[in-house]
Amino acid sequence: MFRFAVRSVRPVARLPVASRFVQPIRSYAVAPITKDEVIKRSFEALKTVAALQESEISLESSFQKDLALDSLDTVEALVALEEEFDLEIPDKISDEIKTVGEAVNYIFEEEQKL
Amino acid sequence: MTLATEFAETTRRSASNAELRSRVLHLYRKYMRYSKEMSELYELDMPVSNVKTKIRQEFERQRFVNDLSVANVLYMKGQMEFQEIINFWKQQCHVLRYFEDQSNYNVVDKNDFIKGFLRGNNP
Repeated sequence: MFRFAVRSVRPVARLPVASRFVQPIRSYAVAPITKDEVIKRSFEALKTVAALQESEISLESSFQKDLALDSLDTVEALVALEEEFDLEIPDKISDEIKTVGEAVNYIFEEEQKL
Repeated sequence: MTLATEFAETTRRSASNAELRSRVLHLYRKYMRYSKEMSELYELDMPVSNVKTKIRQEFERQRFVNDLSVANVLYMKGQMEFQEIINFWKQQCHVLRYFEDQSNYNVVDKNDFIKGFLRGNNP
């Protein structure tokens, strides 16, 4: 696209220097992450936790009730999510997160802020 | 350069089990978060999952401590240990002591006190 623009400018040879260059266009390497992607990646990350390898994970499942994790396992699961998405969930919020869906929602909202 | 007060925490006594429980969970979370950094810091030639398992084991050892005062001391020691490890106040050999018994496979312990004592078994 850049080459195109330069070529179109070239015939008008005697323009001032500044206008010969294309105005920079801000573009992003990746589109902002979608909710589906967050869900997919978090399920994959959760599968790496030893206690969750065999379990059926869904958005509604609660860590302690449905997935039968103890408190330490829950911490491990949330840290696995933190590592996957390269963020740090503050202690106060982590204590409140009870289901997979809540964790996913929090991560999605954090990713939107970036 | 290490900051002497980094990761420091004023020692205090939790008066209730519930409060101590949440503090322990926060400490466990800190350990988990920094487990990768620990294994890089001390150049541990083992997978990070192994380090995490060891941390878990050390927490599990105290799972059935009922005495609140004892649990408070254990928490304090755990926090101190975390600070020392993450500030690189230890050396590799100190950290590797945690993993000593992993090479002791095939050792049958028949409740022989003297043998266990000489081997330096943890009680």
